[in-house]
Amino acid sequence: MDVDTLIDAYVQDVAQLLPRKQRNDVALELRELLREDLQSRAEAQGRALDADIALEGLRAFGAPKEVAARYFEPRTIIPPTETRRFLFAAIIGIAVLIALSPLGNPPPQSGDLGEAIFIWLGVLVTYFGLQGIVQRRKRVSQSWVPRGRDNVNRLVPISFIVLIFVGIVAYGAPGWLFSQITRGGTLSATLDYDPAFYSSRLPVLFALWLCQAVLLAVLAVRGRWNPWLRRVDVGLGVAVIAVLIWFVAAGDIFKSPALNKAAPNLISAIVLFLLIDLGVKLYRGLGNLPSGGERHSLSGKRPVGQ
Amino acid sequence: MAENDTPTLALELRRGVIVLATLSQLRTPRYGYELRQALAEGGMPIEEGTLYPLLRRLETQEVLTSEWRTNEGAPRRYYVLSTEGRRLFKRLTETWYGLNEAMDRLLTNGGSDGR
Repeated sequence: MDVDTLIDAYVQDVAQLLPRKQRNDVALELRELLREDLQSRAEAQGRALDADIALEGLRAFGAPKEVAARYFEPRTIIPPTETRRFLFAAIIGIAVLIALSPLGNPPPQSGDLGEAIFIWLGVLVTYFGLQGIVQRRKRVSQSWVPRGRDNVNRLVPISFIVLIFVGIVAYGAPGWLFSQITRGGTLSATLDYDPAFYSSRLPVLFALWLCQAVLLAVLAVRGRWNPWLRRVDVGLGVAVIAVLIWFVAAGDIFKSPALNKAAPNLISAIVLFLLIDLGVKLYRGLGNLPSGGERHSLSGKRPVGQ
Repeated sequence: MAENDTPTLALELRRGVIVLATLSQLRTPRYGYELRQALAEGGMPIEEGTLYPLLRRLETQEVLTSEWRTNEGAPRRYYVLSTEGRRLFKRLTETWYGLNEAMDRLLTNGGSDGR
């Protein structure tokens, strides 16, 4: 290749990575500047400009992708501050999908698992990308507002208590609820539970939900989390996940074979969601910085003047 | 560890003044290569792969204006400070002198081995 061909090839590689409206203008300018730069490089070496010097100079100029990137304000899909959370969510999600895949009914093929992992990663990229856009806009328009990490809006636990009781009624007496809503209607017999499931396994879940309702009631009264409440919350979360996995593994849930085929997949999806929620809670719990008072008690020292 | 980080840290320190150095040489119109030569002669060599895209970014930010000139042979794009660019240059120059004074004080009186 001669010098002009090398320069043209380099400029073309840079320009094609630029926005269309900038492309021709930058290419024209860059071509002339590179020619002068390479000429000066050759003169500094006391040689005539040849392909070797041109190649060396163009390589020193930088890889076309890097050079093209310098023409923009840096933009990232996932903001650097969110990279750890993204990786954490990705790894937890993939681990859960792999762990739950044997529970699927029918068991998924390896291609299905790969597809599920890609869907999960796609969801995460979309979520963090949108969050990044919102954050960039907020940064311009809003200033930081301090918030207590342990403080709770009392309406939230109260709403969850209501939700738990609605859930217990909906799952414990679906026929009764349906007849109340439809003023005397009868629920399809295909939704009937397997008697063993209804009498021995489902009540365990209700008992755990009642425990969670008590925890939420305490939280609503206190208006704040404390380390013990957080530990109980995580413990109950683990127990609910264990019970749901037990449901999938222990046998029929409904009388209908068709529903028994579909139910494990739905429960697995719920377990995935609960595991991610649990992972986030543990991650935040482990990442909690000690408060001012805790720091002083850890070091055994108090600030001067106290 | 610190030994290994030295080139990167020195590069970052230098990167902080590249914009001000560039603006200082664009009070009169210059094209990219000419500007690079002027900066190098003034003791601030800047890689062409960094400088040329920087000029475009500054122009996008309306700190510089530019125009094509072909009266000296090959077509060249000349850059010069815009009105906003002159204001920015003044502010950055003041900041630079302030930082310079502060660093002088810190480096002279900073520690037991301050030199």
